[in-house]
Amino acid sequence: MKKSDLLLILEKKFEYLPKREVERTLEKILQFFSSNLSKGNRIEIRDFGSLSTRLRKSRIGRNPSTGEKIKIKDKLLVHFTPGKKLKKIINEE
Amino acid sequence: MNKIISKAILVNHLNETIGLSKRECQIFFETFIDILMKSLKNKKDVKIVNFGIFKLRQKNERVGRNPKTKIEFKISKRNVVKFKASEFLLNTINPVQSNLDEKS
Repeated sequence: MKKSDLLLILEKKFEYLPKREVERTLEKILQFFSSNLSKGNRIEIRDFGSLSTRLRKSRIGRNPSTGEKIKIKDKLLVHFTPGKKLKKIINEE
Repeated sequence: MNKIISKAILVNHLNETIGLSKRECQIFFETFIDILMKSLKNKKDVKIVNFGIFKLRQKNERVGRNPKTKIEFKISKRNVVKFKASEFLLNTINPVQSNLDEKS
């Protein structure tokens, strides 16, 4: 499923809203997620799961073909922890 | 300093930034999450441009061991969801550093 598919379903469910409004609302949700993650905040959504950032430490890497050493910097990654209900539904059958 | 963002905080923020009532914002957000969960339930990954991908992965059965008691047990085959942040999201959360220390 892509964002465009997601928008189509949302547009159908919220028919009374202008399409532009639906798109804007989804955009706002995603922006709010990103801006909070960049502040180091954790996003917790009951049943679904939570998103948080984790630091990958800097390390010395090597260019595999030349053997040259390079410094790889610290990097923040986004980690998703699935919620109980999500874990359950993806394992049903 | 680091806060936990709950659904309530998100709904309040939405209500303040767009013209929908709190109730509508809540329903909208819950519907959004619901669509994500249904898609994953149907074994479909969800790809959101400029945000990331929620990917379904199958894990095989393997033997686990309680590190304390050394007792072996079976970890059954299961599905897990992984999130991979898009390049765009990673760039927003990782503040740009000057080119100077990149070269050092």
